Amino acid sequence: MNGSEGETRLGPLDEGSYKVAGNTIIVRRFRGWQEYIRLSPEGSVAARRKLAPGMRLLLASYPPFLLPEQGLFNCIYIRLSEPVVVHQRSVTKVIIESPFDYAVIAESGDSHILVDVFPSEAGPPKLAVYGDLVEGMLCRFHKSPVDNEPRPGTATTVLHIINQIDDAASISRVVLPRSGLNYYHLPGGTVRASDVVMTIKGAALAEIEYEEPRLPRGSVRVPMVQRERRLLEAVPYRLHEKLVMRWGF
Amino acid sequence: MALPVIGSLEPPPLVYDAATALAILLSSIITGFLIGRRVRLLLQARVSRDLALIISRAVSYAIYSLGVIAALSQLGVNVNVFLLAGGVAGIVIGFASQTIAANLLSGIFLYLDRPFKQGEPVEINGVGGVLHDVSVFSTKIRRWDGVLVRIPNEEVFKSIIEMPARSLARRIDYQIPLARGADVARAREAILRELEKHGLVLAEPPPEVYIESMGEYGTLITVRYWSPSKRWFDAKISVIENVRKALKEEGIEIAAPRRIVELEEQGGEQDNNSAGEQGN
Repeated sequence: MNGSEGETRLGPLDEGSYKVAGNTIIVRRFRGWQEYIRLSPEGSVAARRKLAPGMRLLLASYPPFLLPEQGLFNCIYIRLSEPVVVHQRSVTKVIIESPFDYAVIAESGDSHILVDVFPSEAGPPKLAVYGDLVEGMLCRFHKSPVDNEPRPGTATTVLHIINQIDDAASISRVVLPRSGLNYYHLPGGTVRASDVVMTIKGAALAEIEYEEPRLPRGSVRVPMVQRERRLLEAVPYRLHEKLVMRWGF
Repeated sequence: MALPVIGSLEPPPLVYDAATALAILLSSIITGFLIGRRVRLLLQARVSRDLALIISRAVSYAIYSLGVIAALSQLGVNVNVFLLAGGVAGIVIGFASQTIAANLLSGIFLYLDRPFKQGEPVEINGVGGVLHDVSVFSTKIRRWDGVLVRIPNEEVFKSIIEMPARSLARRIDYQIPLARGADVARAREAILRELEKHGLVLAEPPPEVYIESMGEYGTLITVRYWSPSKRWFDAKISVIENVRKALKEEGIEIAAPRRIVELEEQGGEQDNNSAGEQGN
């Protein structure tokens, strides 16, 4: 990524200034040290870090769990703009969107440290309760069109729906668990998320699992930052890669 | 010829009884100590340290008391008097310590029921704050203003306890009085737009804005939305501020009591004979 202001491009951040989702990112070098500054859309300094020589900065589209509200939720609740009706005992595939946040990551060997994180879309990210107010889950909310070109600030997700019941099913929402969800930078500058397999197993129950997508050559998987890794290791029981949800409604 | 008997080889009865009584006393002390310690170790994993200590001591003292009674009995002392006196004293103490016993039992039941956790926001009997500690006799809450409040366990056990953090989300309601003549539809749109923009207002359950009533001063609008329980207060104070700004930018007036003074001319003199509180 070169240092000219213009279109947002994901990948290494060299010296220069960049416009990303309304923010201005400035990377300076001085005697081998790097300084990272982010100016908010209002022009105030939102983040400032100094990095030791030898560290490489990356701009990545990251699953939306790193913002300060991250402790509140561990899932993404995608409400489809229109329900998808699936025949009985059939398989179908639709393209949906999954949100991401921009993460600035410092790379040092195999280790990835989070330097900064900010929302990709205009305005703050929204949350929603999935299920019961006590027993349910608080999730990052996203309203996704179906089979449309992904909008800026979102990743393409392929949703495979496998209907195993003897009735047609109308799918209006998908809940994605935090653990196991990977994002990839594709050569054209777009972002792809893990494929989602939704298996309808009962009159109201569906199982959600991830599947790694087939990617074009040159695609890069977004590295997991240490904070996220530690969190997943610390509380694995809360963050299953598989989830059973109620479909429809 | 029989030798004269100069004394028995057996110890005299009093010495024998005293030695037996001492042995009973010592063994009861050792047994009471060991059983008490065992009870404390067993209970520590299940209940609080304080409660485990109290129960283990009660067990130890009961064994010591039995040892004392048995030892006295061995010495020929009529223990019935003590038992009777103990019974009477027990009744008297029982009546006198009714509140203490109630608090203790409530404390034990609170331990078993565990309706709340340390550090959890709670409201008990109208006292809201963070739960600081539950001990044998009382529950302590650090109120929102920082003051530590002690509530007897009996009262806690009988009270309605609110635990707002147990829900993922909490509903917040505001009422906004719009001035008479204000464009209610435009106000509603502006408020919904603000709620949509705010990160702590949940998308689902969705927010609602509706006319509550047509009041004396104008139209009363209710704004209702849900927010994550852990950020409830942040949401409460920031949303109302944003809504106020949005309404101001839209030029929508908030109703307020006004005093209108009507001046009438009477016989060439001005007189403010009509004054009162009216809606605008």
